Amino acid sequence: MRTHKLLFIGEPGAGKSTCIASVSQIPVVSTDVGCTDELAELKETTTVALDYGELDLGPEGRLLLYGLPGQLRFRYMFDVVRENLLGVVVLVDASRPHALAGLDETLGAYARELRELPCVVALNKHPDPPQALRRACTDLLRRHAQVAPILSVDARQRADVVRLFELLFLLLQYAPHGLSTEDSIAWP
Amino acid sequence: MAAALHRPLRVPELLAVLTEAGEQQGALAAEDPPEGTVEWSYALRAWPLDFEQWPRPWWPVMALLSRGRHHVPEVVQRVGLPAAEVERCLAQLQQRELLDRHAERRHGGPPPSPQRGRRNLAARVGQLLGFVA
Repeated sequence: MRTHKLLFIGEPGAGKSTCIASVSQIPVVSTDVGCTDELAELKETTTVALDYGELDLGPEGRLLLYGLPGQLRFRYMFDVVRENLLGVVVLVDASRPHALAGLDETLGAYARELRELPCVVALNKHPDPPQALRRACTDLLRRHAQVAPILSVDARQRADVVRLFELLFLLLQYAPHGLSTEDSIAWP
Repeated sequence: MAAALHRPLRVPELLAVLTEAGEQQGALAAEDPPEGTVEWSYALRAWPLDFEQWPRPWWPVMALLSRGRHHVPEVVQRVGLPAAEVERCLAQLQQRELLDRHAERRHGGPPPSPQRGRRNLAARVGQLLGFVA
């Protein structure tokens, strides 16, 4: 059976696990552990390996949903999911005062992949992210030579996560890369 | 220079004529691509912040230009919008300085169409989650 993958990445606490849980047809498999560092002030647990959810697409196969930890030191985990990867959602915790620092780190860590794959940036955890933050995100994307739409979402709301999927699949239909193994990005 | 001079041009006059001619040529070059088979091609620099308020049929134009440079006829063919509609979208993007524009030769033949597999997959996911792909 064919499998396709979508990836959710972002800083710790940005909402990757929540996004996947909003649409997955199976209970999300997470590898959360208690936070012991400064992150404990923000959340009780964080993902140390990855989150996993699924959508059964019938004859089109299965869509596997992965959440990768935002910390740069887990960058190597990308190799686990890169085959048949369709696109990436970059999540930003817009409620944090240093939201852009996390986005900057993510864009830097995944620069090549994000330039080659359909990509959407999701501003989460803020009901109405200020225009200045949106503009700063656009500037940051441009500095990293990334072209991606920026959406404001509440990852707990299925409808908002569906909007992310809608945009990702729109980008996918017009992206130069395809879906099958033959079409997948040729990784060195 | 409409008026006729009945003496040789002095140096400052000659410079003024050359400067004026150069400026005119420069202005044209900024608006029109060079003659021949060369046409403007476009790539998106960034999505508009308020793109969700833009006409929904324009989103595919921006999606296409997000990952490559394309001439207007290619955009029309890939996206399936009338040329006038594509040009309206491009004009809005241009007005906000969100487009890169280059004069380059357009290759013959139609641009590659989206693979059927991609359309089917997008349609299936849309059907499952509740959006029209």
